[in-house]
Amino acid sequence: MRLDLGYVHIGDVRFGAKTSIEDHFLSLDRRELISLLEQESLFERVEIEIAHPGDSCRIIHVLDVLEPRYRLTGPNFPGALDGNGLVGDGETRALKNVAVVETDQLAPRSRSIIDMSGPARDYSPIANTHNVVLLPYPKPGVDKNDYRLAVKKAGLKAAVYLAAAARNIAPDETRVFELPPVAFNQGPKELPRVAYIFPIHSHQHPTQQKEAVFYGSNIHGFMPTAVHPNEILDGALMFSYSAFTWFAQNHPVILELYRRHNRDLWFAGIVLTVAPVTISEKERNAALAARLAKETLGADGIIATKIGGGAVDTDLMMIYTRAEEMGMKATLVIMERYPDTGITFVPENVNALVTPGLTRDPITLPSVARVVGGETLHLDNSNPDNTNPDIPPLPANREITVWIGDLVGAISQVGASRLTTYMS
Amino acid sequence: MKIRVVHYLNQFFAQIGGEEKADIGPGFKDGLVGPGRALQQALGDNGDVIATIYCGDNYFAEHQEQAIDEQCARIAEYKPDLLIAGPAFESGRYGIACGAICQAAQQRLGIAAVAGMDEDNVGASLHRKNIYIVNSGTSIVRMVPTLQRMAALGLKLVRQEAIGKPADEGYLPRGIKRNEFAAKPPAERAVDMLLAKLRGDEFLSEIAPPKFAGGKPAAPLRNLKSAVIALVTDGGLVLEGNPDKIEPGRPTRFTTIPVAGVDSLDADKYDAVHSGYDTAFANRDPNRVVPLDTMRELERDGVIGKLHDFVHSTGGAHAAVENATLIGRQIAERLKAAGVSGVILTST
Repeated sequence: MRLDLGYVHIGDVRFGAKTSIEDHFLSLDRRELISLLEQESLFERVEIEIAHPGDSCRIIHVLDVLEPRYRLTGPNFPGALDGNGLVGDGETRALKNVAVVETDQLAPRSRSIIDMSGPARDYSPIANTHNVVLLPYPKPGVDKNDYRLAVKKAGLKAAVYLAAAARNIAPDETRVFELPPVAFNQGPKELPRVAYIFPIHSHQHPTQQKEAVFYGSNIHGFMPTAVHPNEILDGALMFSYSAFTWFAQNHPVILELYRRHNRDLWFAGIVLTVAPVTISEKERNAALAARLAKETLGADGIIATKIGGGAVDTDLMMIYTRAEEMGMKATLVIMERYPDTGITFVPENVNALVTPGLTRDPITLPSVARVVGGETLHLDNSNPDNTNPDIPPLPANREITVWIGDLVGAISQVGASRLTTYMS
Repeated sequence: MKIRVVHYLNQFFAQIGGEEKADIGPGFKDGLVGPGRALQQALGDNGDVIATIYCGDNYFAEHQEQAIDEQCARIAEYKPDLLIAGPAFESGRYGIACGAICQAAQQRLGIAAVAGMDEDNVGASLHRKNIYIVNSGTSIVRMVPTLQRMAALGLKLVRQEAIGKPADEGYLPRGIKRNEFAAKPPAERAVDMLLAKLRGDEFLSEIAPPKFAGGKPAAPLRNLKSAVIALVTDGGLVLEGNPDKIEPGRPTRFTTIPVAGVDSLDADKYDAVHSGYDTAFANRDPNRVVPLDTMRELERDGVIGKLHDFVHSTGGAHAAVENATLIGRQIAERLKAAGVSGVILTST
């Protein structure tokens, strides 16, 4: 299966009379996009803002981030936005240097922050894109979970709306992603076959009944499944929480395995799984995921990542252990949360861990001229660890001290970051 | 501006005497003594060794609190910016003293402090988490380079400059992780590591497994019928409104919920506060986090002697090990004092 992902490079985004792209300049008809998003009956009104790299601007209460995409050859975000269908083949347009940022207006305690200037820019790709920020305001009394799903859908709509402007434009750069079916996917004998085992969700926070995670499915009862990596890159997967969908569309492990495919290794494919809540389900899923990698994809080695909290460490260690018992080699990517306690559950047989960084490392961000997404933060500036509900709201334009992990896109559990850690 | 430095030595390096003088109590001298000369050279024009304090190794070991109190008082009189202790090399008693006096000076007097000793010195394992300890190795021939590193690190601390990595600055890792920018992104490092593993080459995991102090399990209960059983949870059960302000994550405290005469946990009177799981189910029926209803049945049926009158609860999400240890100890002490013979821990 082959996907041609055609990037149109965007140098600037401004509001204008008509949504169009000319000479790398994206003009955005604010009113047209607002009326498209206001079709959602749960919203009282929607506002749109633009934030540019280098602006003295802070975006707060971020829910999700997407790269604008438009499929020329099939449905967009099937099951979640368009009707049923498949992705990962054919041709897709993407806007490079632009992101759609959803804000959650019913999450006053959210600490997901994007600073468009200052030290934060060194950490996150999302601080370096022209961000089209969605501010959907709910009607009174709307359930916050229903609202959240509506905001995520609005994000998908906006991502497609923006990239549709590039449908008739020749891409500046086309990335080709092609892997043959596994049965014909033997590759040169000297190259090790590497598969990626990808838990896409942890049910410690269950998805909602109507929540679209994979091809529109709420993934309740999801069993380990072999899928084509192109599907993840092309809009089949939206994270429920704990990671931003931008990092599924630009999945660092999948991109790296493709980059080295047929050179240092043979990319054998990927296995999706979830982290269930009972031990028996965890054991079953770990064993099945490892078996799929070994016996269906024919992997010699696996890389696995996680999504979710500390509970998923258990699943990850089980996947590692089952994989090695079956004769494969395994490496895990696992984010560190606390400077002093590390990863609490690492069995003795697990010896290959890579860290994308420590989330609770403080960073001080200077005051900003403009805040988008809300007015205050639930933050104790003297102790970002304080989660006490009684913290007085802090004006969000002030100098703030937060954790690196609060910066959207600085550390992603799927392995995106510029960081590693050391013991001091 | 020149910084003011106080130097701590044991009786031997302070030129009082050897083991026969190890019982002498704290003393002090203006200016430098013995190794202080090398320290002064290392400081150069940046600082002056204004005083030397010393103590016999045995005296310190046997009267630690008293020695620290007395020395802190004297150090304070000199109004120093920095305390340099040792280096103690592999001498255990001296190493413990260097570590303890540095930690006290840092905490009580708020001054910068650097100790020096071998990495295997027991003083290092006791104090490396809280203070900077420069690794001196075991041999006294390393005296001068060790004091140079201690002085350099001390100057940085006083000037509040960024402290580099342990290997670059020469101090022992304190067990505190920090971020740094990496040459390659994590996904590339993960693939490199896996390929090295597949080739049978050497590789280094980026995260070391944690080390925990092992607990000793209590002996099994011989007779349930006479046992007093308590319920304890890290599932975040609180009284409605969370009057004790239990944090939903990274807890620092626990709450004590009276349940005498309560047959079942009513959804209107209790909440669950916890960031690590969806609390909707627990809020609908709190008995599913803390099975009070079932325990009352067992009590009525005579399976257990009595259910303890209080439930202790905290929110277990991402607890710091120190806080979790403290919370656990405090709950255990209370239960023990109340004559509880067995505990059921429910987690989420």
